[in-house]
Amino acid sequence: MKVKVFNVGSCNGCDIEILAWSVEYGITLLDDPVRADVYAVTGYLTAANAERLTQMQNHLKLRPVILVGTCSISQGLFLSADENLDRFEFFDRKQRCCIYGCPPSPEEIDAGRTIIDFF
Amino acid sequence: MASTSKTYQFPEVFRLDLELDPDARVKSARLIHGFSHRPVEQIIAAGPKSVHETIYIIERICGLCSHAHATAFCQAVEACFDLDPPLTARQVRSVVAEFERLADHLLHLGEVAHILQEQTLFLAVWDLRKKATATAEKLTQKRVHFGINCIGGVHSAPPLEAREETLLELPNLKADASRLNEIFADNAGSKLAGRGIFKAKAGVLEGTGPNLRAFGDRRDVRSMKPYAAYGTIKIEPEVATEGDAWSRIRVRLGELLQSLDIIEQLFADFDEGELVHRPQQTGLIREKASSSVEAPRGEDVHNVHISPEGIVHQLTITVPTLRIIPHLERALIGAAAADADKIVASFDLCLACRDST
Repeated sequence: MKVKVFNVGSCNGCDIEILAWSVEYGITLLDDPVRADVYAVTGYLTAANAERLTQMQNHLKLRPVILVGTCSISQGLFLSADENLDRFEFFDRKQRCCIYGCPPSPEEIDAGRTIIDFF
Repeated sequence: MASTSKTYQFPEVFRLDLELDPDARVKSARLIHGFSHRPVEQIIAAGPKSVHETIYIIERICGLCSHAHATAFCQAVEACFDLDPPLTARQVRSVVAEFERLADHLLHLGEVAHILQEQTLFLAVWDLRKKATATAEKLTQKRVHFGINCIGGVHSAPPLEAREETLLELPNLKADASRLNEIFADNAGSKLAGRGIFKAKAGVLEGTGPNLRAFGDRRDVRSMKPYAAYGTIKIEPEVATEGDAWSRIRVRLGELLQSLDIIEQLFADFDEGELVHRPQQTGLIREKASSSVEAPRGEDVHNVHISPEGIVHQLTITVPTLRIIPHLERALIGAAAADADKIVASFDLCLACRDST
């Protein structure tokens, strides 16, 4: 499986675990959103990153998305931050899977792969 | 706009603006960051947050050095309330800090191996990192945010069996680390040597860290102003002299063995006593205090201003990456444009830290 990770304002905790997941379970991490099968999103959406995502907005809804970590699901600690943006403006609301945890372990993230297969 | 560099595996977002001369050498460089701005300082200053709540927010500044931030904050608050953490708590703080340093340096070395397109080297690094994080997980039951610090001490200490297991595991980790030292020199040494030289007179620049120790600056907060349990053990700072990309990597490779050595020393005479200092009565003796720790990338300073009820009025954090970015921009000048990614990688930026303050 090929995964493109969107770090839209995370503390790097989830990104470390995604990297650990990719090494342990043989996942390819890509930088190219076109060739990826699945998108993973980490962190709460900041305004600067939303601007970055707007550039590829039409493409992003074509793939299922794994929301990794509490920040990307419910904004976590940063709920009171000024920038409360809706990430489903950019990603597909229906084909999504939420992996809770701060951060989730590689095994927990791998469960997301099983769920993505049902879409 | 290059949102993430093509060669990076770690998805940190930044932009590097390079101005080139006709020979494809860098004339001027500017690193643009702030894409992941998380207003931690504002969140703390805005809502009435107690010191205990604040620890959880502080830990989420950065996933790579969350324990270093929490330790710095707790030490500053302890100075305000005149609390003295017991020896056990200090030792646990140091052990966890060294495991964090190991995990962080190994992540960085893996990133460098990936950028040099040495996949076997990357796997060798990752193998050791997996072992180190598994050992840390056995001791603390956590992987990234350790959540072990509290005001006046620590929440838990590793039980005796876990410590004995770790002591048995340490020689294997040391053997792996020294083997990694050799294969890194064989595979990556020549690709990095002489690139991105950054030098200054020792002791002139503010802050500390592996990037400064790479040109002979011997300062290290652990030996300069010993905090936690670093006063009870012997630390010899790991230094190199050249100041190029390879010496920055070499210092970090040396620090792997140093960290393992510190953990061994601490577990050899581990004190089993109280975990938290609970005096008969507590009172604020000063409203403002500052504390610094040696985070994996260098000196991390926390300045707190708290009220007598234990509400944090203001917190100012000086993260190590704040000082690294100007050094990187200077090291890039004169380098070949094709080497820029290696030089950026050798400086080990943590933009999550930088962007959250």
